[in-house]
Amino acid sequence: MIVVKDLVKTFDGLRALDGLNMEVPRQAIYGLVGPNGAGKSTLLRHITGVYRPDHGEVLVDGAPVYENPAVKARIASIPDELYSFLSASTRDMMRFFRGFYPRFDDGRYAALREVFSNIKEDTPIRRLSKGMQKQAAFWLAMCCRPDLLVLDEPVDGLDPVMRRQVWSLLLGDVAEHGTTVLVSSHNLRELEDVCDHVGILSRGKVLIQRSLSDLQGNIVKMQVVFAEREMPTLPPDLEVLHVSQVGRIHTLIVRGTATEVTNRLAVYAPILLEALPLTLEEIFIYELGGEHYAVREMVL
Amino acid sequence: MPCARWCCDLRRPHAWLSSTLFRKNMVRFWPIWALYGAIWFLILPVGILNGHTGTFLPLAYVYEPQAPQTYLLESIRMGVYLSPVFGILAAMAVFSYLCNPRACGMLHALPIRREGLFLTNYLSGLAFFLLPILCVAVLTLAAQVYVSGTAALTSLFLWAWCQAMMVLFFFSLGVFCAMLTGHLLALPGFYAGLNLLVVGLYEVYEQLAQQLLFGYLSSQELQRWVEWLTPVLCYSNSLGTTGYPDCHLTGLLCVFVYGFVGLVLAGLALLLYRRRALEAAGDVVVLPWLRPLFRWCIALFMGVYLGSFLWQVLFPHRALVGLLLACILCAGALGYFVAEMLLRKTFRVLRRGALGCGCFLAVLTAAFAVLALDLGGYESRVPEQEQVASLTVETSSLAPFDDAGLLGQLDQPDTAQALALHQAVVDRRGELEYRESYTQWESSVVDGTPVDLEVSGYTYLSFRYTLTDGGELRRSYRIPVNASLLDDPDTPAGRLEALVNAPGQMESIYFRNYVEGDTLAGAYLSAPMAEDGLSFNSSESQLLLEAVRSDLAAGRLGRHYLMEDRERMENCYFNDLTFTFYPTGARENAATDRDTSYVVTITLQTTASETLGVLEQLGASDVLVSKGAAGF
Repeated sequence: MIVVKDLVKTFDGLRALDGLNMEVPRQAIYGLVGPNGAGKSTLLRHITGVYRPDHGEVLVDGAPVYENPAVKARIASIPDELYSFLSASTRDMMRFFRGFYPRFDDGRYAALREVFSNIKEDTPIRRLSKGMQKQAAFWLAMCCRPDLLVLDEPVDGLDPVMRRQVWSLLLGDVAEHGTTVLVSSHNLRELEDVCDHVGILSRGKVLIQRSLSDLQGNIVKMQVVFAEREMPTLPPDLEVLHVSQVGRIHTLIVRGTATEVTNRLAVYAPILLEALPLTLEEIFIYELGGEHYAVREMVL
Repeated sequence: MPCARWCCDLRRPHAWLSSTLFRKNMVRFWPIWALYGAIWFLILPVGILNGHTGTFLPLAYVYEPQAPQTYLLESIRMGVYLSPVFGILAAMAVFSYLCNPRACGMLHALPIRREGLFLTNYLSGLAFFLLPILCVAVLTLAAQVYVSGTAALTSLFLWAWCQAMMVLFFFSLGVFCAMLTGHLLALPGFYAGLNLLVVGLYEVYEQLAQQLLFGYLSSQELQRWVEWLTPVLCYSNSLGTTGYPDCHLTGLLCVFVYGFVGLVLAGLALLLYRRRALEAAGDVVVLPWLRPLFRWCIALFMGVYLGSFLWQVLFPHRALVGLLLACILCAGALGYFVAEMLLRKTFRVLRRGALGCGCFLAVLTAAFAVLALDLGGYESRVPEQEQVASLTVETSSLAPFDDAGLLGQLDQPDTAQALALHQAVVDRRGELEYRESYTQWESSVVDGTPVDLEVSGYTYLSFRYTLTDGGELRRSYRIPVNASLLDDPDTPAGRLEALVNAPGQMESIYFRNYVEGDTLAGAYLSAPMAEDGLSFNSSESQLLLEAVRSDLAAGRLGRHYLMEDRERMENCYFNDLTFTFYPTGARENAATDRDTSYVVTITLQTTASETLGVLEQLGASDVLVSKGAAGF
C-alpha cells in the first residue's frame, strides 16, 4: 500500500529523515514507534502529502502522494495537533470535509452520531475538551471512507472506554473494507494489541520493520539457573542483547527463536531454563539499546 | 478476509479550485467584505441621495449639484486610502493558515493541489472586493436614476474599474508578502516595507548624501521614478480629477500599470507558493535566500535613520563625520542583531550573528567612505559653459521683498557669471562645509529713527543646470553673508549679489509674465502712512511704467540685497508701485492662464530718479516713506 523510498528531509541543517525506507502492506495496521525526535511525525506528514520531500518519494499504490489529489482523496489523517477553523463546529467541519472528499459518507456520519453521542454537533470544536476534540476528529476521519488512515498519537486524551470504542471501529473498517491504518504512538502496550506490523524508527531511519509475530519470534527472554552461581561463558555467536541477575536467576535477552536459543543453552545443563515471549515495549527498549538508547541507570 | 473496497461515489477531487473553500472564506471573513462594501455604500448611493436632498454627504466638499457625475469621479480617490488597508486585511485573512502549523497541515493534507488552494484563496480574496464593488455600482446606478433620471455610466464604470484595479494591486501585493513570511504579524510589516521600499531606500541615500555630500540636491528625475515605484505615492499624486466643470479623470495610466503589476505579483506569489516549505510556518522569513536580505535591509534602515538621529541628539554641533559614521555603525549593528533575533526567535544571537554583522558593517563603512570622500567627484563638479543648455539659480528671498525679491529665482542669468559663482562656492568648500552661520542684528539709526540692521546672515543658493546631453545637474548650498564678504567681489556672497543685480536681470524677473501686447490696466502706489494709496489712470500708469522700465534698464531701480543692512534700509522706500495688466491671450504659464489679470509689484528705491520724477509730476511724492522713517 505505502512504499517510502530513500526519503530525506532536512530542517535548517537538521536531517529529520535520513534516507528512510519503509513498506506498509495493504490492510495492515502498522504501528510506527520510535524515540522522541526519531522523525515519526515528519514521516507521517510526508505520507499525507503535506511536506515536500527533499529527496526520495512516497508512493501509495504506486502513485506519488505529494501534489496528487487523487491519492490524497483516499487518505484521511488525524495529526497529533488537531486544527479546526475558529468557531467551527463538528457539523461545520463535516460540511467542509464533505466538499473535499468525494467518498464522504453522510450515512456513516449519522450512524456514528450514536458512538460519539457526548459531542454536541453545534458546539465549536475549540470549546470541546481535548479528548472530545479527538473524538470529533475520529468521527470526521472515518466518514471520509479512506483507504489509508494515518494516525499520529490517535488515542492520546481518550478515556479507556472511548479508546476501546475507537479501536473497535478501526478494526472493523480494516476487516470489512480493507482499510490500511498507519499509527504512530508511544503507547506500545496498546499497539501490541492492535497492530499486526511494526516499524521502529530511530534518527530518521527505520531500524526494523516486520510483522509483530516475526518480531516477537526473533527475540526471546530466557530465564536460566545454572549449577554454578556465576554464568558460564556463552558462545560468541549467541547474540545476547541484555543480561541481568537476581539471586541465582539469570535473565537473558537473546536474538533468535525460542527453540534455537533453548537448545544452545541446554548444553550448559542448567537447573532451570525457561523461554518467555517479549512484550513490544521490551523489544523496543532492547532493540534501541543497540542504538545507544538503552534505559540508563540514574543515580540521584 | 478478502479486501472489500469502498463502493461509494468515486468522483475525482477538485484539484484546481474548491467551491467549498471559496464559500468557507466568504463566510469566515465576512466582516472584511461587508465593511468594505458598507463604506462604499455610504459614500456612493447614500452620498448621492443625500447630496440631492442637501443633507449629510461623505464627500460634501466635492459634490456639485449641477454635475453629480463629478462626485463619482472625485470619490475614486477614496480608493487610494481604502484599497491598501483592505488589501492587506484580505490577504492576511485568506492566507492566515500559512502562518499556523496546524492549519497549514490540515489544509495541505486535503485532496487539492497547491495551485488549487492558492487559486481558490486568491479568488475568494478578490471576491471580497469585486462583489461589493458590483453591488455598490448597481445601487449607485439606481440612486442616480432616482435623483436625476439619467445615469453617468462612464463615470460609474471608471469608478468600478479603478477600484477593481487598485484592490487587485494591493491585494496581490499582500498575497505576495504572505508568500515571503510565515508570521501573521510580520505580514503587514512586509507589506508596508514593500510598498515603501523604494522611497525608503531613496530616503536612506538622501539622508546620507545630505550629510556627506557638499551641495547635494536631490534629482527631480530620480524623485519622479521614486514616486512611480512607490504605489501609494503614485496613486496619491496622480489619481484625481481636473475639477469642476471639466472634471476629467487623471492618473489612469498609473491605475492600469499597477493593475498589471498586481497580476504579475499574483503569478510570482503562485510560483513561491508551489515551492513553499510548509514547515516554515511561524518563521518571520520563509525563503532562505531572503533572510540575508532581510537582515541587511533592517540593519541599513536602522543604521541610517537611528544613527542620524543619535548623531543629531548626541552631537548637536555635528562637525565630525567620524562621529556620524560611529553612530550609523552602532545603530546598524543593533539593527542587524534585531533582525537576527526575529529570524532565529531568540535573544541569544550575538555569537552566531557576529560574522554577518561584521560583513555588513564593513560594506556600510565602504559605502560611507565612497560618499564622504567624494570618490565620484560629485562635490567638485561644475559643468563647462559649453555643456550648459539652460540654467536656473535660486536663492532665499532677497530684500526688498517685492515680486522679484520674494521669487528669489534667476531663470536666465549670465551663464559665465553663474558658473564662476558656482566655482567660487566649490573652491571654498572647506570654509563653507559644516560652517555654522546665524543671522545677527544690531541696533542703529536710519533717518533719525532707531532700526535693527542685519550685520551677518546666510542665504541658500541652488543651481539647476540642464545640460546639452539632456542630463540634469542640481546643487544647493548655504553661504554666509556679511559686509566684508559682500565687499569682496571674489567671495560667493559678493558674486551672488553681483549676479542678482546684473543689468537687465531684475527687469526680466519683474516682467516675466509680460508678453508684448498685454494691456496695462492701471497702477497703484501704496502709502503706508495714509489710509489709502494712490491710483493712477491709464495715461499716468503708462508714464510710470516707461519710467520704471527705464530705471530698471539703467540699474537705478530693482537692486536687491542679501542682507537687510544699512544700504538696503537707506535705498528702499516703504512704498510699492503695482502695475496691473490684462493678458492678450492664453498663456503657457499656469499662474496667468486662468486669471483675467496679473500684477507686477516693485518696491521703490531712492536711486530710481526717472520714476521718482514722474511721481513728483503726478503729485505723489508726498506719500513716499523711507524704511527708516517708517520705523522699520
